[in-house]
Order: sequence, then structure tokens, then C-alpha cells
Amino acid sequence: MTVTRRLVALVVLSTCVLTLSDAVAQRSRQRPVVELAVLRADGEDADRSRRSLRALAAKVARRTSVEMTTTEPPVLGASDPKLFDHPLVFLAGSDDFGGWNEADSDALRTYLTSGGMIVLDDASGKGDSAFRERARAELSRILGGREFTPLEDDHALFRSYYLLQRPWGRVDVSDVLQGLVLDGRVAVIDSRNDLLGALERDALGGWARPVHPGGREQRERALRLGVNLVLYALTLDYKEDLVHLPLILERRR
Amino acid sequence: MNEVLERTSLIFEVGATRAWLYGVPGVILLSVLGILSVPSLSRRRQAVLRVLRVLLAITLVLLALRPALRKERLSVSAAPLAVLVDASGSMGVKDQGDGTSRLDGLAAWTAEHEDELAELAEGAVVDLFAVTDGGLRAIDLTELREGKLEAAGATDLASALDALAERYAGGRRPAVLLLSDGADRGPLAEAVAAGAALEELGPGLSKDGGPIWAVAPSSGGFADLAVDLAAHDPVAFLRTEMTVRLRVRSRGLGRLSVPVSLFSGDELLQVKSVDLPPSPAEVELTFVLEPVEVGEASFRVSVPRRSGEAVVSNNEVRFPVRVVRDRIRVLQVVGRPSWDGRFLRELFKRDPAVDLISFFILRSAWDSPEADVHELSLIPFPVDELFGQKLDGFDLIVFQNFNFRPYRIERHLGQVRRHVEERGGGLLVVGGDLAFAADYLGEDLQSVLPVQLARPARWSSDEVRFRPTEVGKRHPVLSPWGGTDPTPWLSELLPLSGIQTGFGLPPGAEVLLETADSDRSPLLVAAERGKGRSLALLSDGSWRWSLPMASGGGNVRSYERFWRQAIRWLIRDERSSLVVLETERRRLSPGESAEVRVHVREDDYSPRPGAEVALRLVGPTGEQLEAATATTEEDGIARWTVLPKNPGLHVVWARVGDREVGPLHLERVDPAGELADAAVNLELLESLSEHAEGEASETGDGFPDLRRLRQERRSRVEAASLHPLWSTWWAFGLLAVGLSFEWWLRRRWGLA
Repeated sequence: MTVTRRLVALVVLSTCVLTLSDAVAQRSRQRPVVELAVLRADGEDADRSRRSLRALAAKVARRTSVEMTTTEPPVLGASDPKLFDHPLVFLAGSDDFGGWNEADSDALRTYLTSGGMIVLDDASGKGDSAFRERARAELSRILGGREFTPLEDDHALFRSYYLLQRPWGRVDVSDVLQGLVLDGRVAVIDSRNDLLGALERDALGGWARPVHPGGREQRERALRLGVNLVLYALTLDYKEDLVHLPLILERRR
Repeated sequence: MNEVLERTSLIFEVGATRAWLYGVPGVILLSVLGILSVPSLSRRRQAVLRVLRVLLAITLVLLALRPALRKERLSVSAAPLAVLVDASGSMGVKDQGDGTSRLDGLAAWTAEHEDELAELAEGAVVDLFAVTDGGLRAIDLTELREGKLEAAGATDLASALDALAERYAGGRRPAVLLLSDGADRGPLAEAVAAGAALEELGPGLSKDGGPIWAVAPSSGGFADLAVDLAAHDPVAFLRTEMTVRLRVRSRGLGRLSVPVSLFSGDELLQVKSVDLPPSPAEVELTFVLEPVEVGEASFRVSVPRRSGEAVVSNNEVRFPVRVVRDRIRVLQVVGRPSWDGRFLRELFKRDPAVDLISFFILRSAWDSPEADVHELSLIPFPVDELFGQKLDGFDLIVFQNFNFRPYRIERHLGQVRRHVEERGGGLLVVGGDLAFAADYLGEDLQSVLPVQLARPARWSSDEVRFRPTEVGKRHPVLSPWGGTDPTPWLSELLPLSGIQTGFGLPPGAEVLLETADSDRSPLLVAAERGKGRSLALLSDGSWRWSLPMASGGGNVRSYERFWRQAIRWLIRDERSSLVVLETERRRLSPGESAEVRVHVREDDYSPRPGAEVALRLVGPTGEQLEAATATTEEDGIARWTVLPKNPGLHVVWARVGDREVGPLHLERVDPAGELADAAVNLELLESLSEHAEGEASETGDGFPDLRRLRQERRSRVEAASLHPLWSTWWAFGLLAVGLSFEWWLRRRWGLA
């Protein structure tokens, strides 16, 4: 085969591949999709969270049947009307962000009580940052003084897709997830292990940060926790139905 | 007849007690004083004086106690007697030979024992009553003898005896001669069967009542096969087993094997065979049913007629059952986790009346979890269990953005069709790019879908604006009252994202929402399919009426309102009705009324006071018996009291505006109840007579021994007079002679 023929064949093949990938992308855009979002905290690096969520969305799309938007997720303020189009948002940071004003607080209260869910992620690596302290206090205040409670290891969140026993992240400073529960649904999840830090990709597609102390295996578990968080937001306590399925079916007779 | 007697008796006017109290010590004291004061004389003379003083002391004391004679004129009579003739329906049973009824047999018996009855009438007051439905009616003996008594109504002997006690209240309770077959269906039968104390049934059987002699017609010629309800619950739950216990009885028949058939309306549901030993025999059997439709149902159980049966009306029994929904059982299958699936699940879970099983397909064949199976919480989709075995347990099946193909459900789609068409289940199909795929084209599902697919639907993710159609404006899914235009609240809803197009409309389908563009593509389509209903929302964006609506203060309850109305329509949930008809009593005894309540609600299910309700009562043969109008009160309830006069199944209908609800079944207990077990019950009469210290016998045993009745005569003082003895001249003279004689003796014997 001459070089010319090889070049023509390569061009034709490349054209076919591109056309096909366009078609796949077009089809994907035509499907109903789930989009994650970042809840802005003043002074915090929202881009870091966006990169992490993009990586998480790609993993969810690859590992589960959920159709995810894998483009850069939006960063939304508490009073942004678009916040209500995103039932699951992530709020990450290290420093005291000063809390929310009254309008923001009202909007967040409406968001949470109407079905929204916030994942609070302490990015400090210490698990007890000023960010976390402020965010917990603010969200508790917004929900009328409701207190965070530990989520037991058999909570639906730990088996919404993967079977997990405890939370994971970039660091390992806590083996407990806490949550604010509204009408049986966890509306706010408090993660201390810098979950998004374990998921962050760099510009070349590699992992942006090392994971301590568990390395690769710990990162995989953090990824699985991220997948479970998304699936929990999408299915709630559906897995608890399954546990009770034989009983429920028997009761029907 | 009364007898007059004279009676005289000695009494002391001071009273018997005082007579003893004062008389005996007085006599002793005076005697001792008299004896001690006798002077020294010869022994004979001392004895004479002492005897004399004792006699004088007795005389003196007796006179002091004021003796008198009481003369009385007495009227003496025997105890009153009430002859109770049972004229209930069972007394019309012709089992006394030669086609004569029990009443005829008792008439012949009274004619045969006319002399004994006449003798009773001579010594006592005899009243004659016909007894039926627990009441008394005074009759003449000739009415019985000449066969003019009609056998009708129920036997309730305890109530009849109460009525008798009330009639004789304040006077002497009569003895009772009860002419009855004892085929009681009232509290007396229940008490005797339970071994309970009969005096607690009422004043008619209290211990101070008169004796009861019972005479029953001959029990030898009765042949009957009967079926009767032993127990059933008038309220049953949808798709939940209900048990009906029945008794099959035979009397006067040999060993039998009898088919027992259960019908719903005219539809034969079940047949069971029972083996009856030689009579008298009674066998219980149980039917287990699973009602598949909410509302009123009327069942009938029958056994075949045998030749020579005395009663054929008890060969079948009818009973109404109200089928209600205890919980709404929902199967939600979501083809892919999405916000639409999540918010609908949350809505179901928030409703305490919903039992929900959700299945989210979390992983498709193309997904790679990158983990071992034991690290995943996924379980195989139990297709066969849910769709092959348990499907009938659900009221509503929800396919949400779900494609059947990967899960081999297509072989169960026939079951889904039958569940909707034949068992009245609801089917909700919600769009998404996976829904209405090639498998939806199949004949089984297509026949129950409200949309027609020529090929798999086309999906578009575009924003969808919509509007109600003219049908939609009146349809219960969007407008529960039918007259309220839903456009205002629908116009507040956010546009949807995503729609499927390319559908036709099969017969019976109604488009309720359509796109607001020029295409006017169907968006929400409803259809009645057999006994069930189906609804298709050709978008997966309804979740936007939930959380996104909250932005900017929108009404987040619109999402809940839309789906609740849709679900209630789909499952024909009676609780969702804006007009509900109900009553507490469905089986009514003769003379018993029922209060029918009509609940009328507004669109938001709040009570609607002041609503006009037209009511009508339809009789067993379909004729309208009664009609009325009522107005709802502050609680939104209109009340109507109905009194079915004739036996059988009655039906109540209510109309509010152009909406009619019903039927509400009321069963007036019929003579078949009286004749359910019409055998002569001598045991019951024996228990009754034993309790009342009388005796029970059959007509063939002759006239009962009523000598005790004759002995229980009672006297009444008609006149009395008192004749004092102490204030007479002869009494004073006797005392004076005695004292003078002693004085004379003492002088003669030289005593001063």
C-alpha cells in the first residue's frame, strides 16, 4: 500500500471516528441528565470543587446507569434561582466564609425543605476547620436549630450502590459521616475527610492530590463514597425497601 | 273466676309483740304476788286461793292486752294466665302432615283441648296474644281456631316476654302458656346457645316472673336443607383475603353430599362440596375471597333444592360487602436513576397511605462498577417474582423511563394487561428516553396504553410548554370537580424539560395536556382500560414542578397536587372522591333504620357546607321507593335516615350536581332469616321453661299439667271488721265475779 493510500485511509477512518463520536455526544445531549453543582462559599476555590465534581460525574456515568453531565459543573450562589434546578450541590472549603445573609438563608431553607441536598466537605485535611464549624452552625440555624447526627454504618447512604462501612476522602481523620435529617431524608451531609480532594484531577487528567494514608485503595473508596452520595440523592432510602422486601411481600398476602 | 270466703281471727289490739312482751311477765308477776300473799290456812284452802289468784291474774292481763275479734271477707282467685301464640314466619312451615302448617297444628290442638282451656278460664284471668317480631297483639281464641292468624315476621321470644312484662307492670305477673315452635332468631336463641343466664335478657325473663309452659308443634315431619351465614365481615380490604363462614344444615334428610356455590351477582365464583351426615346435621364451611374492586359488592351463596323440603327460601343467603382500600400498593420501576424518579418516590413515601416498592435500575450492561459483586449492593431484578407472582398485589404499576428489553419482562406483559383490564389495576407510564421503546409496541401492553405507537417514540430534550385541552379542563386528573377550570394553577407550573413524540391516540384515549406549540403534541393522556385505568405522561420533567418551583416562591405543592389527583384517579381511590356515601349499619332488622351520610368536599378536600344532595332509595326489585334532598352541614356531611320496609337488598344513590355516587347497599333482614333454621327447637323451649319453672312439651304429649297454676291462688281482703273483747260487759262481769268470789271465800275462812 502506498503512502498516499495509507493517508487517505487514515483520513477516512478519522472522519468516521469523529462523526461517530459526534453522534454519540449528540445522543448523550438528548438524554435526560443529572448535573452536579457547587454551592459557592465566599473566599473558597470553587474551581477545585468543579474539577472534583467533573471527575466524580465521569465516574458515576461510567460505573452506573445514571446519565451525568460531565462538563464543568456550575457554581451557584445561595440565592441563585438555578440552585433549585440542582437537587444535589457540594459546599467545600477550609476557612471561615462568614456565613450567609438573611436572603441567602431563606433561600437555602426553602431549598433544603423542598427536596434539595447539600454535601458539606471540609477541605482542610484536619476535619475541624473554621469552614466546617461555620457551615454546620449556619445550616443548623437555617433549619431551626436542628442538630447534626451521626449516620450509622447501615444507613442507606452506605449501600446506595457500593457496600461501604464508613466515609473516606483525601485524608482519614474521621470514620463517621454526620447529617441533618428532614422527614427521613438526609438534607445535609457533613464529610470531614476532604472527599472532593481525593477526586480532583489535574489539567492532564491525573489525580491532583495524594491521598493519605491509604493511597490508591483509599482513593478508590473515596470515589465509591462519591458515587454513593449521588445515588443516594437520586434514590433516597430505596435500598431499605429491598432489605424489607420479603417482609413487605409477605405482608401483602 | 273468684271465690268469696269469710275468715275470723283473734288479735290483740296492742299488737302481738307487745302482748308477749307484757302479757307473760304480767301474769307471772301477779301470780307470784297473789301466791305469796296467801295466809296460813289448811293446805287445801291455800291451794284453792292460789289457783283462784292465778286465774284472776291471767284474766286481768288478758283484758289489759285488749283482745279483739277480726272478721274478714276474702276474694280468692287463681294466677292470671297469658296464652302466647307464636305467629312468626316459621309457624307457617307446612310440616304437620297433609300440608298443614304449624299454626294449623296448634289450632287443632286448642280445639282438642278446649275443655282444659275453658277450665283454666274459670279459675283465672286468661289473656290471649299473637306473638311476632318481638311484639304482642291481643287476639281471640276463635282467630286461632279458624286459621285467621297469618304467619309472618321474625321469632323473638325474649322481646315478646319483655312486652308481656311491660303490659302487666304494676300488677301480678301472669303465668304463660307459650304455643311456639321455638325457632327463635333473637337474643334468646343466642343466650341459650351460649349457655348464658336468661334473666339478664330483660324483665320478661326475670326471676319474679310467672312460670312458662311451652307447647311446640310436632317436629317429626320437617325436612329441610339450608345455608346460613355464620360470620362475615361487612367491610373487606381490596386484594386482601376475606373469609366468609357459612353453616349448611339438614333436617329430616339422610346422608347428603351437597354442592355449595358462591356467586358475585350472577357470576359463579367458587363451588365447594360438603358431606352432611344423616339429619339433624350441621357443617361449617369457609369461602376465602380476594376482592379486586373497590366499592359495594353483593354476594350470594346457594345450595340446591331437595324434594320435599319444607322451606326453600333458606337454600340461599345474600350478603353485601363493602370493599375498601386499606393502603395504596405501588410498584415503581425506574429505568435509570433521575431526579424525576427520585421526586416521585419521595412523594409516594411521604404518603402514609402508600405501600411502595421501588426498583431503580442502577446499572446497565454497559456500565462498569469496577468492583467485585460482593462489594456492590445491587441485587438481581426479581422480575419473575414481581411480575409473575406478586403483580396482583399492587394497585398501581409505575413504569418510569423504563425499557423492558434487558430484563425479559416482555413475557409478563400479558399479566400486566390482565392486571389492568381484569383486576382493575392502574398503570402509569412516565416518559424519558428509555420509555415507549420497541417493547411497548407489543400487543399486550399496547392494548392498555393510552397512546398508540407505530414505532418507538422520538425523544427531544427541549423545553416543553403546555396547556390543558378542553377534555383536560373537565377531567378528574386536572379538575376533581369537573367544573373548575384548572388553567390557572397549570399556568403557574414551570415548563417541562423533555418530551416524547410520535404517538397516535387509540380509541378511548383522552389527551389532557398538550404542547402549547403548533404541533399540539400529546403530553398527558388518560384512558379507561377494562376495569382499570392507564395514564401516560410523555415527559420525565414533572420533577420541575417540585424543587425548581420553590425558587422565587412558587407553589411547590402543585407537584404533589398533580400527582395525588392522578394517582387517585388511576386507582379509583374512593377516598379521593369528592362525594362519598357511607353508613354504619348495612344489615337491618325489621323496623330498624339506617343513617346514610354523604360527605361532600371541595377541590382541596375540605368539607363543603351547604351543598344540595339528592338521595334516592331503590328497592330489591329495582323500583325507586323513596327520594329526598338534604343539605350538607358545617362538617360537609348531609344526613338521611332510611327505613327499608320490605326484606331484601336495597340500594341508596346520592347526586351532587351532575355527580352521582353509589350504590350503597342496605340489607333488610328478610323472612329467609327467620326461616334460615326453621326446625322446631324443643331444646330452646325446654331451656326457657326450665328457667321459668315450667315445662315444655309437644302437641302430641297432651295438655300440660297446669295444676300448680290452680294451686297458686291468691286472696284479696275485700272487707274487714274489728270486735273488741276487753271492753264488753261480760268481760268486766267475769273479772268482778272472780274477785267477789275470792272476797267471799276469804270472809268465810275467817280472813279479814
